[in-house]
Amino acid sequence: MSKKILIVDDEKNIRMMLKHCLKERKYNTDIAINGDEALNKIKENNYDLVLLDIKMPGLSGMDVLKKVRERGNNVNIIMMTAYGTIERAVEAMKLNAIDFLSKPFTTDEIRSIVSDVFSREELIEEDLENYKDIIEFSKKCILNQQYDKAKEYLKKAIVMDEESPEPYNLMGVLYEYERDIDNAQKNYRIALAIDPSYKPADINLERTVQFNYSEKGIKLDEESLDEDEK
Amino acid sequence: MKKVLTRMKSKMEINKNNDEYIIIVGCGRLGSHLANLLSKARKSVVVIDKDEKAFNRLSDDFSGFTIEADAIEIETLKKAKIDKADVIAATTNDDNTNIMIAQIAKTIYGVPKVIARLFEPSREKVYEELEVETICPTTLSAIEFKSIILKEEGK
Repeated sequence: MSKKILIVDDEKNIRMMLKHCLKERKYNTDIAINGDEALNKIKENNYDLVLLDIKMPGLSGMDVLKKVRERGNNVNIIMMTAYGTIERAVEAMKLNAIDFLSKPFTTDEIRSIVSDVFSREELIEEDLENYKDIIEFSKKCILNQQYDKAKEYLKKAIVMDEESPEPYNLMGVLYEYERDIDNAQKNYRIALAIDPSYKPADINLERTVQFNYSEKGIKLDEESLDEDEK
Repeated sequence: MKKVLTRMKSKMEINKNNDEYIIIVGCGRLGSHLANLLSKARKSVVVIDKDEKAFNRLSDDFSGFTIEADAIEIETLKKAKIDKADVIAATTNDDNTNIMIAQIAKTIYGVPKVIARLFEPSREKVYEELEVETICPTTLSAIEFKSIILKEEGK
């Protein structure tokens, strides 16, 4: 049976692009033009996947994500973000949405992320054959909130391919879940040392560093200013 | 010879990847028409214009992205993911803007195929040195005019 996908975006161009592209792959598609319509459709139908735009007038993608999860619905969700809005990624990830498609994207990117999400569902722990399987399986663990297990598999991925920044970046994200910013940054830095052009780690590091700087700033004002001046 | 080779090479690179990613700067009469045609041909198209109203020129079935921003700011080009672009077409009505964008695309981001509109034919040489292809409406119209006039004379 072909998979059912809901496309949620307020822009017609993008809805059409996604629809055409997914139809070519024989997926069944449905459309919602705003957050409210999306919530209703998700309630009434059993979708295999929702492509959800973060930035919409009225109910935003984050609001929709929150409401869907509050109802206990654990449907696969890919968040579509515009350039520079990745700072909300951690927030979305905590709500079990770990796949992001950043605009503008190409039809190839859509197809590959959609097929990654579906093939991840079919992965079984005993059946992991290669590096990519292991990475996808650890993402699956993150989605199922099995964070320790996710870490275990990320470590395996690191052993298998020492040259890849991705597992380190995911490890960093897991540390951020635990509010362990130091270890998170350490992992982002390793990812960047391996591949300085690896964007997710770059953005994560920048974000956490900023976060830290602002914390330090507050402290300096209140307590340690004297010491510093000495 | 060298020029032909690089052109062939860039063409091959494009053919290898059938999912072309094309950025069009300027959504005026030319830019919007080009965007509509390419979108119809199922290419991934991003159009940049600093005037939101300009996007009204796009057809109803245009299925691509629009970015409302000034393309001479590098942040805008990054937003359009210029580093991933296969083709960039600079179609604004200002030669200087077009050449600047073409130069950024070619020298900083190494975009394989860069095409710019250029009104002033005498500047064509500068673009040639940059290996930027140009479309010059002035020259093209002159050629068309000439062919119509000469054909009529021949009758």
